[in-house]
Amino acid sequence: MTLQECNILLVDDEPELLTLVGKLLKNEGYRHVHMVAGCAEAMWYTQENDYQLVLLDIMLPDGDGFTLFEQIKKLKGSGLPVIFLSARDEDYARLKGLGLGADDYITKPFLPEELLLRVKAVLKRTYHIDENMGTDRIGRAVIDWDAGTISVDGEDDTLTAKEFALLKKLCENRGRILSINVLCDTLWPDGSYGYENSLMVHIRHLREKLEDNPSKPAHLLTVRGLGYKLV
Amino acid sequence: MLTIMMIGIMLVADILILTYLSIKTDDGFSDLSPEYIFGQIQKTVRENGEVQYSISRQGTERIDSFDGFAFLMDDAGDIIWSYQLPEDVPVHYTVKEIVQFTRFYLNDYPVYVRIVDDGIFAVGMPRNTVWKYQLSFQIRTVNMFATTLPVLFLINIIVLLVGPFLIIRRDARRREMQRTSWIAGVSHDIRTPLSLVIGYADELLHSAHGCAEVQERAQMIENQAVRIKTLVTNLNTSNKLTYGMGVWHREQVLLPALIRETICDIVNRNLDEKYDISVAVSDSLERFYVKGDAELMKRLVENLINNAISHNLAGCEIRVSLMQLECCFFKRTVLEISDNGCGVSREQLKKFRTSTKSDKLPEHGLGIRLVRQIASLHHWKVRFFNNADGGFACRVYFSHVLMQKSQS
Repeated sequence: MTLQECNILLVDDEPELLTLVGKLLKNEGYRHVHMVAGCAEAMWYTQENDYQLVLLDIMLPDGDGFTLFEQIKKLKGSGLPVIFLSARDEDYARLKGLGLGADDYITKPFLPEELLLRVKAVLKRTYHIDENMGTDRIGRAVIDWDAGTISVDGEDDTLTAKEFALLKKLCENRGRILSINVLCDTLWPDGSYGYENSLMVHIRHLREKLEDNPSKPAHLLTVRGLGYKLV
Repeated sequence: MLTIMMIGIMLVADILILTYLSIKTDDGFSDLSPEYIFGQIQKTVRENGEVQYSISRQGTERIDSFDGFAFLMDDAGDIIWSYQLPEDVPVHYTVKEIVQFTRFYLNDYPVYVRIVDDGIFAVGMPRNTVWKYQLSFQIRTVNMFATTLPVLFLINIIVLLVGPFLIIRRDARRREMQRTSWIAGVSHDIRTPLSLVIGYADELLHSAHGCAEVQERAQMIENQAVRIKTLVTNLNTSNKLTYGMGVWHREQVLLPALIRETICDIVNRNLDEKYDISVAVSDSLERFYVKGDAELMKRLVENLINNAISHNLAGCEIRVSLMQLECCFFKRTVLEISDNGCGVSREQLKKFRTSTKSDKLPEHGLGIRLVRQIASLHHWKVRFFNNADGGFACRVYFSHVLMQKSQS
């Protein structure tokens, strides 16, 4: 299954917001997006269809999102990921949503890019879609995620496990600055802070494999004091 | 405090009014002194042994001042001298009658009796002028009153003071709750429309290929919508902090990571290139933890950077530094966020520094006010000033170095 094949159900009582989010997801390539405005309709659609993700508002005209969440989980099991998309930003609501077992909690207003990234992250995490990621191009370099290689003008080079994880994180957030701490967390998720120098070493190795001139990088840029950015 | 003062003033005012009314209705009663009047009586013994009594002018004036009368009775119960004695007052009394009027009234005239050498001296007042009764209590009861009354009095005072205070506080709390709910409601309701504004502005931005003007406007709409979101969130948070309505966490936060995350979020939100943000964290502070609410700390950093951006429309350099400074023989960890922009006026600086509590919401400077509130909640010292470049700067002095994890 590819990301685009995932069926997504949107539940929100604001028709305009439904249209906007539906459009965003469709523009991103998601082919099957259903939009409903209430709990009863959402339950009917969930029974009749097989969804890979539900985006759920909390305040609905015929009930609340938390109860609907529990009903959906009862019906479809815990395997179906749910993201809350709500205007309620208080800690109580967020903790309740995540405490019930939601995969993410996004507060309105949201940046479209952020919403799409979070949807993608949940789908990839749940269905292991990134196991078959295909290829990505960065300048002249082509990355084969399945083989774990990077090839420039037909010359293949292997990515180490850390380089692979680092490059994957940067590719997923292409165009955005990722802080040193976030990248360190990605490489050393046990919270081993103080690996900034090791991170710099991995970045240098990646540049040697990616860039035409590693000392003057054109793609993997350093943002001084902050982190790195892949363009 | 104001309530206690008001109650005190009211008690004093009541006492003064009662004293005034007592004096006003006294009609010379307090001047009635049988001893004084008897002192004005002169006793004359004639050669034939006959005894005559006369009263001085001062004595008669005193008795006339309350329209009273006086008499002297011998041991046999006969009146031997009198002044202005009413007609319905007998001139001879039995022992039983004497006992009765010494305690209560004589033919409904209130009388005051003294035992003198020549017998019994009495001063009477007109009818219906004095309430006169004898009270008697058991010693045990009096002792009980003596011990209980001060306690009761104290309890009454406490109830009088605490009662209104609690009522006022409850009402104030209710009003604060209503205000917080209202702001939280507005903050909630504005989020969906803002989502639509940001969403469609973003769509416009990406669909207007080649049309720089449309892209620029779309970007502006998106930026302003994000700004409104920040303003409303600031208002909501500030209100919760002011009235103690928020639920804040006390967690260990790795400050350098939080600072970088916050700045990355700002820069990734298509920050205009005319703003340059640089970050400098001392190597020794890379593992600097502080205890507090991460969301509030993020807001503090974000507000200071947003402040630099919104006050320097021509662009500026923003420097964020986490460093150690010598303060009064101690090294303190300081977060400094400064810019090389236009700075702020002295009046504005003064406003930033003063933490005034007002029912009116400030028209400007909510972001800075929130910075001060967040710092205060965490017991950090905050200082605002214009730096050597002429730009605005803020320093946050941290009070706690929680822990510095070593690299494992």
